[in-house]
Amino acid sequence: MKPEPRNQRIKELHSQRPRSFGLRLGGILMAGLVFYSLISPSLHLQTLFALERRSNLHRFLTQDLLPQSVQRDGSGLTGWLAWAWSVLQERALLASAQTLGLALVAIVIAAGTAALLATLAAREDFPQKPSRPTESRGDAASDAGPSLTPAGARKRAAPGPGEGGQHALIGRGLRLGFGLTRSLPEYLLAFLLVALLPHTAWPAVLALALHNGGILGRLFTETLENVPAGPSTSLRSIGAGAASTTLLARWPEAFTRALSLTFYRFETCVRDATVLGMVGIGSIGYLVVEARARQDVPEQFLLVLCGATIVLISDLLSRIVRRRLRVA
Amino acid sequence: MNPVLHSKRPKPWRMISLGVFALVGLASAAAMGLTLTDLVPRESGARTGKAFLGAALSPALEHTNWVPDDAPSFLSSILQATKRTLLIAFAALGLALAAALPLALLASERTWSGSSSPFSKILPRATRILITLLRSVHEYLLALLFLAALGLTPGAGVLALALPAAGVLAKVFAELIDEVEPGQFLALEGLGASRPSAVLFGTLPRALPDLAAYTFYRLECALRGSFILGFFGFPTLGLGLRLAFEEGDYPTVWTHLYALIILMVVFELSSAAMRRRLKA
Repeated sequence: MKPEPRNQRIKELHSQRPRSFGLRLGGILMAGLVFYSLISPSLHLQTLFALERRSNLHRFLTQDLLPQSVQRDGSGLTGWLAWAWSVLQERALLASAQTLGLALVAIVIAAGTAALLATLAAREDFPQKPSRPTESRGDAASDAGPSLTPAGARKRAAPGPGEGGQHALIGRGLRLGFGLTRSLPEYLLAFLLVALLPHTAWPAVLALALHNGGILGRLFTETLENVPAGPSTSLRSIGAGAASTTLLARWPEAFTRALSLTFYRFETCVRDATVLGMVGIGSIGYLVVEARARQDVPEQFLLVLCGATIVLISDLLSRIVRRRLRVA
Repeated sequence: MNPVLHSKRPKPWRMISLGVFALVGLASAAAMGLTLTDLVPRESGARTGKAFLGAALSPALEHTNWVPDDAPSFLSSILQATKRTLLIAFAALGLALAAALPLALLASERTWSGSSSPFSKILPRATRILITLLRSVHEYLLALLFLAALGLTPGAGVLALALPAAGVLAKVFAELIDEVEPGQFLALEGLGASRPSAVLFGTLPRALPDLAAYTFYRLECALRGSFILGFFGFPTLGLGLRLAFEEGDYPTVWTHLYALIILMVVFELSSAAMRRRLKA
């Protein structure tokens, strides 16, 4: 049977669809690696279901999770609550506050530094289109852009003849720096810094601030570059210089979004702060490793719940603020 | 100055919020006893720092400690650790992805828009709560709990990385799916397609490039997580780094650091290239 002309057209369109060999290869490679990792003998994941694991898990759920005192007098949930409250009062509440403190100091340092550096890194030339590209996207997703490759390098064709070489160089250097600080795990940074600095909370704060400063720097730069061009164009046209244009025209436009991004990173900061204490700095994480050293599983479990609660609360707060900001 | 425009300027909440922000930061720094003088390394710290940085250009290429005669060579053991780091990350992300896609579809507003079934109120809300709970516990805290529950097995690490990753992926996926323009979706529905097929064939394909791009980014995060799992005893690159650092064996530390950096750079570059193709 001869194919109808309409089918012909569909086939034609089908053969013309955009395809990329590299993308397919990457996808297949990725899927293959995932598959291999799931069956690989060096992880032997199937042993997770082995009998010995199951008995281990059974003991964990039935015995390890309950504190000894509660087990002995069989007081059940009320006993557990009383025990939990005493641990909270004794140390866990303080540790929770310390965790929040770590995140707060870190995000203030990160956002301040990022704002300064982004001002330097943002390109001077005006966006071609009346841009709004990052506005509607989820904040979390805007974190996903490339980082080692300078963001926005593709958007522009050849750089204009008037573009200052020195300024472009600073911008490039800063972008590379943003990418590098982001790609190292903050836990590793904190671990290394603990050995260098006197015993305070600074290592954790600095590690968090570096990592998030890199991310915020990149996001702020993009925000500054994508503000509507109107105000800065009019300031320029009456003779304002680069510094005053950025400060008086671009930042006011970008401010709300920058604040919203900061709160979004704050959520992540709190989440990461719960574990950074593990390197030896007073906070939830520190108590967790301490409880682990005492083989005190019930307390470990309670502290994990504590950490989750802080994260949930700060999530909620940040979500409320960000919704407000979107309206404002 | 134009008095009308001036009276319409935004209220000073920006300056106020900036002030509050800075004050909160200063106050918590003060409450935690953070002083600027503590930012300067003391004598022992400076010595460690010097030794550590001094070893940067001479990473160890063979065992620095005594090892049994039949032990594998240093570089092959680094390669093995790198392989395990990769495998744990990939396994975790594979599991997370398998869980995240259905969760995201359940949590998305598109799936339920205009539906009058009794589930349309409860299911998306319940899914969103589940997603939030999954995200709320940090993967390293989970790792320690799973170590206690299951013992030291790579599966415990994979699960610890996979659960929070599933939560984050599902949350972002749902957002991305809801951002797709509804044209094709409405067209399919208008033609009489059922809701699931309208979402699967009218919405999901258009969201796919963004979903894939975000997945690549999460893969980098999983890789960092897998590296750090070594600090808790899992046999990834982090384990060797921690042990060497505690012994003050900085050349070996640097070998592990370079392995991590190479891994991250290769990943960043290839995932940036993939993302560029996806967006094109």
